[in-house]
Amino acid sequence: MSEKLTISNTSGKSKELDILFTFESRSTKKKYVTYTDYSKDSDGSINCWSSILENGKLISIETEEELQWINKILETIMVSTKLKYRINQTDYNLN
Amino acid sequence: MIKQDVFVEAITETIQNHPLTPKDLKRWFYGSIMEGVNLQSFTRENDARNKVEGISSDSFLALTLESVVHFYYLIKEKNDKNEFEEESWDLIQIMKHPEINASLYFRTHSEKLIQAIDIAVKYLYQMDMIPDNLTQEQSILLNKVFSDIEEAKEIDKIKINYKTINSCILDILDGTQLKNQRTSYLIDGNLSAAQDIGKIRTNQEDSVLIMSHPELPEFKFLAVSDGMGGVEYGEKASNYTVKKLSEWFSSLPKHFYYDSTLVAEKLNDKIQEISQEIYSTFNQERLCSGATLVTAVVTKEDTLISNIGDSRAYVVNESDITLITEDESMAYLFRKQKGEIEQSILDDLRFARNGSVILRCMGMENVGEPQFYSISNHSYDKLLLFSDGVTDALATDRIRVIAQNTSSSKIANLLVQEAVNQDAVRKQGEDINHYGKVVAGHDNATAAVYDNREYRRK
Repeated sequence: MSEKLTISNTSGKSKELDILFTFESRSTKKKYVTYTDYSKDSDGSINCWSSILENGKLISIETEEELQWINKILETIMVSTKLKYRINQTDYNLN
Repeated sequence: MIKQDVFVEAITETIQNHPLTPKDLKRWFYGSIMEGVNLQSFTRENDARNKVEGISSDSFLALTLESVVHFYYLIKEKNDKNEFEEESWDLIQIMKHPEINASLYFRTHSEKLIQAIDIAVKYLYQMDMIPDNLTQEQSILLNKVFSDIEEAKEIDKIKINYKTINSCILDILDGTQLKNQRTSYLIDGNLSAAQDIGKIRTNQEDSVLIMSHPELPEFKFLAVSDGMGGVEYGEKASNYTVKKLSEWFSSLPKHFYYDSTLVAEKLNDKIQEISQEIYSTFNQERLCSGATLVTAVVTKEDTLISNIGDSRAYVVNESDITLITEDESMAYLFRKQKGEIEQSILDDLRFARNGSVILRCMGMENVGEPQFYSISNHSYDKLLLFSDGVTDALATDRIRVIAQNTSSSKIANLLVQEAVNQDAVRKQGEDINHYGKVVAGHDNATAAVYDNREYRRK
């Protein structure tokens, strides 16, 4: 697994982000990726985002069910650390 | 899907017909859950093997977690204090947690899976497998666990980047590690660390790093660096050292896991390079910034330990504690020249007059090659790294007792807390050179621990 993702924002500026985890769904057959830039929001949670990875491109996640899944995985992985991550709506240009 | 009771019968049949020791049974469960089920491992007696054909590792996990639940409620009912009570309570809290998928949790936190198997095997050997009556609380919990296992079947090929979930690295990078009065880290189940600033110092000059390789979680790195006491910029030297080492280890190709000789070569170069960088950044004018450094890299077969200065690495197994490193201090050198270095003598060094004068540190120009040691992963249960704030305060045997009898995630914390809260006293007796008092909390104390029991079980 490559640890990093390069993403460009709407003004065309590119940014390198670290991947937190990836997984595939047996039912949807899609590959999901969750990534972070380590920026923190006002309550100290680390910002992260999730997308579907398809043919090397990132696609926004739209269903509530998929987001719930990703949140649960995040909680499960983080339970023994002191870190707080929060999944935000994607504000990067994914295309 | 194989019914749970058929599966339990096949397990029982196998245990009864083959001389499986508890250790064999633990290996069988662990391997079946993490690497898949081998049907050949079931007995042919009473057609047991045929009955469980097509079985998945989920059944092994389900039986393990079910046994932990039964065990927990049994000891709760009996009010039975025993060594597994605390561990099983921890595991039950995880299983109950509504936001956590228990199946996913135990598959991604292997040390916790081992704890669960330990308890399950004890239960399977000693008691009837399925109790007659379940309490309501017990049934609710079991239903949750079984539905978590069903739910987690959805997830395939999960890969976690162990660098990004590491609170220790994040604290090093943004400098908060040097500001915390007291802190502890638990990473990836089997790595833990703790620090305390002590009672006299106003800043934390020790730095600690524990991490798994981002692409290979079983490839581990630990480091403790003690910024030299009273020296200005001491904490900068220790923080800089571990920061550079975390970058180095993250970018190390993962195939190095299979070759500890390669790791030793690269680490040797890196340590000397970092020392030189500290020298040229802080010391050319001031000559006053330095830090000790003890590191451990867990590779496939061996654990590689390096040392500069007077921090220490120990390994512990069921019966013994062994000091791996040599202190590069005046006191140690003096005793060594007299041919006196033995385990018992090490405890005297705490009371030696020149105990804190060290001979070498990170930040020296041309620091030279660190001490290197390679120990087999089969030879130890737990690996411990300390700054002298711990080893000056605690006798070797006290460290051993705590390390052997505490659940591994709590060892670092317990040792550090005892080190900063209890005076070490030796009265003047026959030995006129080594007596006096080490005042509790006079120094920063840091411990890092790696629990290797999972490896030994494979």
